[in-house]
Amino acid sequence: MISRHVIRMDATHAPAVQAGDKVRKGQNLCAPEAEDTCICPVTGTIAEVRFDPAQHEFVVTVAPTKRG
Amino acid sequence: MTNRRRMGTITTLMITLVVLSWTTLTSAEVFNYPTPQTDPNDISFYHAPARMQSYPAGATRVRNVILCIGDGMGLSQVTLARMRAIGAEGKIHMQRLPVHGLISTHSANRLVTDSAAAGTALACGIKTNNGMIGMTPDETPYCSILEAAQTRGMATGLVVTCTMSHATPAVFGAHVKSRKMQPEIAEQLIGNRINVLFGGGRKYFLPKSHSDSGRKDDRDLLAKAEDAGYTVIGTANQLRRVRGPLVLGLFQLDGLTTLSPEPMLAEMTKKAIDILDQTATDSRKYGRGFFLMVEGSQIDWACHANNAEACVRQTLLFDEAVRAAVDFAIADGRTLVVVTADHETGGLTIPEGNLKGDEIKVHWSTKGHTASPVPVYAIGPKSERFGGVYDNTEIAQRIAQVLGIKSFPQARK
Repeated sequence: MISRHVIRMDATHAPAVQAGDKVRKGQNLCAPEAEDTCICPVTGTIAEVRFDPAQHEFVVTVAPTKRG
Repeated sequence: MTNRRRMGTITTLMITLVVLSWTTLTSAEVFNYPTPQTDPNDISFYHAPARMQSYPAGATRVRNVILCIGDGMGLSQVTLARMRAIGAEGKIHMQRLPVHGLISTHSANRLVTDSAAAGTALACGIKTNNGMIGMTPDETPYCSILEAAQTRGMATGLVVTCTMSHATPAVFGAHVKSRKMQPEIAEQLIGNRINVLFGGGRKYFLPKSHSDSGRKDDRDLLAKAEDAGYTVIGTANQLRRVRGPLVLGLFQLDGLTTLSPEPMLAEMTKKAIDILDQTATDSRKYGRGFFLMVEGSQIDWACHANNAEACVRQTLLFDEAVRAAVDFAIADGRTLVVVTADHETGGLTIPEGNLKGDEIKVHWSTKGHTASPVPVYAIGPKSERFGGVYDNTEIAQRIAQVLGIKSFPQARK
């Protein structure tokens, strides 16, 4: 089983990605105008983008690409 | 049974019936705020305005201020709620207030603000960077209008549906460099002796030894609050019975669900007003009136999820709280009510729909915030000062002016 990676980012700005997008390791998942940069730790596909109201953050889940 | 005894029994029964009818009528008139619900899409709780009562003529002195903030509530959120609740021809309660304005919302470092920077502007009258609570970008803490009101001898309160330590309530009673510091914010709120604190977020008040704690230290803020004289409550029934002058009501571990069995925002608002008004009347220490901030916290959350139905429901729940504030203000005659928002969320527009409001098409341009200006509505003595187009920092500055607070904005000593 391949573990998924979770990246959290402040919700003031929408993430630069949405569910289904292909992403590369090192890609910034935050909007360019956001306070922070959110570096994608792996190459893969965005499995889910969820809003966490308690922390006012988006929670982005990345499913890594399987290695052949 | 003799005729005389029979007549006596009938008379007693009739008196009982009259008393019961009177009690029922009185209860219906007094307790017509929304009752808790279980369906997250139900808006049947909403009482559409029948008519606007006029504010008592001749009132010129402001004793009390109630500031109502719809988090993420732009003009389209208000319009959508109005369309769904009443239709194109009607107005919801906040729209019926006589003074209207628009405020800009940018922060010190970004065109698009967050609730921390926008709240700091609304509470402290200064611009700061996104994420910062009650201080300038160089980390100089500034007094909030709530703290200035306390210094002036007013009772104070915060009522929200998010965690008590979330950004908007935080800016009125805490000063930290990041909104993420919720455990520190909770501690500062208690230390500031704000009379009424109603909302969620009990986990930030529990020590780390507690299984539900959101803290990383052993501080038990509920015990600390009780030691400081607070009555600590956690249920709607306790809310109905509690008395001031210091009450901490935390009705969920995290943010409120806004569903049964929690008290609804309007009920918490009405209770906070009752406690603060009584405290200001009874106590010499707080004898100069009260300041209350009420936040419809979850309009923002609904709009981050681009959920139109939840946006309508949360806006109407907030509007019911506005109604509670306005009802009190009209009866009192010395209370200023200002309704506004910290920013718009979702980039909501309404490109299509019918006049009845039951076939509305919405469009969301983002899942984040936008820089759109947000509305201001006001009623009460000196409410005319809140009309026009201006900056969000001027809300707190104008409240300070009408209360006669001279040094504002002011760095905290």
